[in-house]
Amino acid sequence: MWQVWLLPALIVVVSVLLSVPTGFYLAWIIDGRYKPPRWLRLVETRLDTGPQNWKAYAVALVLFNLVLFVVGFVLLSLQSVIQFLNPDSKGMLAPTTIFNTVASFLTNTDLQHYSGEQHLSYFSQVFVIIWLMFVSAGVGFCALAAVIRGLRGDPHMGNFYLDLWRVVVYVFLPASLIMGVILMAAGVPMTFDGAQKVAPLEGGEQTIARGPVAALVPIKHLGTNGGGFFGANSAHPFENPNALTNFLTCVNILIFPMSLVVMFGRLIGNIRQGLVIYGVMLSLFVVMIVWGVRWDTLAPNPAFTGLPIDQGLGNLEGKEMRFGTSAGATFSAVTTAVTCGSVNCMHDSLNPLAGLTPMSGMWLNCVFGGKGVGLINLLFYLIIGVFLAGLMVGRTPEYLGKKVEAREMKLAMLALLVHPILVLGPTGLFAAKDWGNKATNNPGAHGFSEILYEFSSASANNGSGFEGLGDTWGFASQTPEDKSAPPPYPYSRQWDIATGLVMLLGRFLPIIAPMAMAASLARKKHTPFTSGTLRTDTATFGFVLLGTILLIGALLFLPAAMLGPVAEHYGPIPFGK
Amino acid sequence: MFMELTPWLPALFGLGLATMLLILAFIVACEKV
Repeated sequence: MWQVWLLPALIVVVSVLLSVPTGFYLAWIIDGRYKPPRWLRLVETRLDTGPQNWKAYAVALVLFNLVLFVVGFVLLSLQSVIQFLNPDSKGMLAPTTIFNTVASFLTNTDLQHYSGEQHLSYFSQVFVIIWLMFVSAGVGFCALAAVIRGLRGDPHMGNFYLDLWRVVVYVFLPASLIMGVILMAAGVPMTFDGAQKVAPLEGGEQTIARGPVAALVPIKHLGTNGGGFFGANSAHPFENPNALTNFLTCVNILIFPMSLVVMFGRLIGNIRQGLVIYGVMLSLFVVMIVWGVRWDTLAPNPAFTGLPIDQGLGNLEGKEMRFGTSAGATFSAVTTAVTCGSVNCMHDSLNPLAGLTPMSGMWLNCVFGGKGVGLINLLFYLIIGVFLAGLMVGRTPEYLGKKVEAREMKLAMLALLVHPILVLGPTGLFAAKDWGNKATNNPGAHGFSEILYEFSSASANNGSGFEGLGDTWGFASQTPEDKSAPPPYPYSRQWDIATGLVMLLGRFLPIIAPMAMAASLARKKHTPFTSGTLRTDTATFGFVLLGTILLIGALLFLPAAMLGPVAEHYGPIPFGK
Repeated sequence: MFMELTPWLPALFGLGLATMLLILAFIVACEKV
């Protein structure tokens, strides 16, 4: 039985060990201490528009994304017209699928209301999907760099364009190239030839989809993007061929979000501050994995109770046995803790309580979290923790020598409340209407979980799907009247538009408010450290921070959890009857 | 097909742009907090 813990333990230990040198490397890059070759320096000089205050930085960030939205929308709209890299003649996508896909990849969410091998040309995969995977990951990273500069009291937030260039070219590109070569050696395809027709032994003809998969998969994980080349994502043997690639995938997902905490400590010149945050995040992460494995790999599937099925290996429904029995539950914790969204098992098939693991990862959204934004999310929990602890012990709340006052608290609360509003509001609306009830594959509590999961994933910019929802329209030609093609799901338009808007708002609002908060702190006079200062670099404060996260998280999301996974766990079988 | 979809495409394109502009306005709102 101990063997089920081997994979999760190995993933955590290796990722933690690698995160230290990687964090130091990231700090070196983001602080501009790396001296690139002359031709790259020329590019940097052209991109550097000078130091930006928080508003200029935020405006540059949003305007850059607005341009990406326009370009992505136009390119996807023209998919059927662009014959370049379209060997399988993919047609035009439905308008709401285009809107949802662009919003999804622009925001690093990668929620997929389409199936890559079925609906996208190679041109769309390369010039919309992969391109957005690189820059959207870079944007989150830049936002964190700006916040850190504010917290350490820099007179300006840096330069957005220069930061983005450095992150994409000096971090993501080399890392993706190395990982791409490893994946190709493991058998992941990298070709622009169209799908292959083969004759299987039982006769007939089988179409095997392929494409530039090895170009997409590394940045899918390193950038905590998560959108698969294939609909089955990392459960597909062409994306994740064996147990070794599965292990490497998990490390790839974790490495940068973990390293960013080390980078934070390094950049603010106080590694202990980073260590406290790292400890809190790691504790939550380990609990998430243990909970998932305990309730899925070490528990039988309740739906099979009484049937002549040996459940000694736990709940095997929806799992890929190539990776090992605990790989699905472990992956579900990894991919949702850091808002990656890649999947190697079907989350809809997790046992009800194990389903809480991915959901809580997305609800808290700060257990290492997405590239850059996870740590930003934790920082506003931290500011709230500092404020509460300061009130409790009667000391002026301070963080990094700057007083935390009303303005910072308002901005922190603003950033904090966006996420639950975007999750719970639309979930309530869709659960009350046919848009939700008639789109779910399951009745009762499990159906509610499918709706709740979808909006949690969209708002947290995670992108994984619980699945079981009818939310795909696909090609524009797939109208209900067209009997030659599978009809679109009746409420796919509502899902496309609603989750598209949630992703856009859930991405940028919680980035902007903390930037304003960091700039506000930067403007304040440094308060000298005295015996009356509330220390934030101790284990005691780590417990305060942990308590703040758990308390706020429980207050916001526990009622919804009761209606979904918990009700399902205690409910009758078959569920929801 | 492209022509049939013209009402939807610009509407959704506009919706995306409007959302991004709203986010830009949020920057101003944060400054005023």
